Amino acid sequence: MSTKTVFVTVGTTKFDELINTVTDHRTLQALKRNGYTSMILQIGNGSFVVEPSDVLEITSYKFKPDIGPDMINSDLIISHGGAGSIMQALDYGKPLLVVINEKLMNNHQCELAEKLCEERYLYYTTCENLWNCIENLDFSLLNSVKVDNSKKICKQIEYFLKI
Amino acid sequence: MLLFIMWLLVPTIFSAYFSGRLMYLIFQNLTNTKSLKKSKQPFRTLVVIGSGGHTAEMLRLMNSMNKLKFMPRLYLLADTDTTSRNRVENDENGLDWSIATIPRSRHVNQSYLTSIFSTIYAIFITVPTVISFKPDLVLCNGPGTCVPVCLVAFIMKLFHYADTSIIFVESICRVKSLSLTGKLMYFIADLIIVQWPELRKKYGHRVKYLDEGLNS
Repeated sequence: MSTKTVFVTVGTTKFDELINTVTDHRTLQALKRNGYTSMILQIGNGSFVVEPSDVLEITSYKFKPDIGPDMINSDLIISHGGAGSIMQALDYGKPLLVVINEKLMNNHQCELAEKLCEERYLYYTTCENLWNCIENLDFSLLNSVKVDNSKKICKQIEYFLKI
Repeated sequence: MLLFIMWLLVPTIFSAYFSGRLMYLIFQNLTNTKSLKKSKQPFRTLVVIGSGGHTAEMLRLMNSMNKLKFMPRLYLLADTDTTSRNRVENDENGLDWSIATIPRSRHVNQSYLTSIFSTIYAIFITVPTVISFKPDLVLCNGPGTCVPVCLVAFIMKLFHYADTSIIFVESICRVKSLSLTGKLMYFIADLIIVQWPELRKKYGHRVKYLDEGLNS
């Protein structure tokens, strides 16, 4: 049987609520029904203790210098709303589900998730609706074209400098 | 007597001239009326590298630029930021480039009082680096580090030392409003590029949306 991995990242701080929800029995069942077999958690400074589960194979760590390889090797990325993580995940062309931390309101980071969701680059949700999203969203509908404006920015710069 | 008049007059003329020039430069920026003379090539380019996502964005941009037109390139980054340093060293595949470091103006959890001094210290270190490099182009995309650098470049322009173009590319994570750095750059950058149409709408002609106005 082929393995399908989901990678969860909370970034440089902590987001215990996300870790809690994602390891919830209901979420794990939903993931399993969608064919996922293992889960890697990057839990940051959170105090949440990850318990082993009989549904999915769960591994976790606090931080790594480079989470790139874990992203590349995964089939789905569940991420906090940080711009760095979002852009990195999209760079690798992975299906991405962003979970907004509602306790960090007025945070301009959710603007980015909202906007990219409108453009169909990712889905975003809250902790409450996480399992529902995993159950019902079709990640194959997402735009897999990279978000890369570099060429256009270059043009504008060269035009300005008259070269 | 003559000396006394000179003593009064010379500073007055100087300050009148430079404050006039200051207003002229800012006016030129705000109305986007600056036009470059047919410029010499290649451009001496100073790239201000931030951290994390900013670094990634800037390096991606650098990689799609024609590096033969932007030489030599000096990457300016914070001395504590070894991650960014490694990324620059990995990604930069052209010729004629180097890295310079400046002290970080504020460390995480540093108190505001001491951070005033460390900011001043950071500016002191930045000034000779920027002046001796004498860039034709300063390219930056958001982190606080770029503010002192751009100020120095702007002052160089004010005193006719160099004709530096300052280009600010707002990070893609800013969707609805410019970052604090962006708001400061509003007055001193020659060109501001934003990556979402909402920002273009909000700030009008002062900012450019990607390749707007260019055909094909």
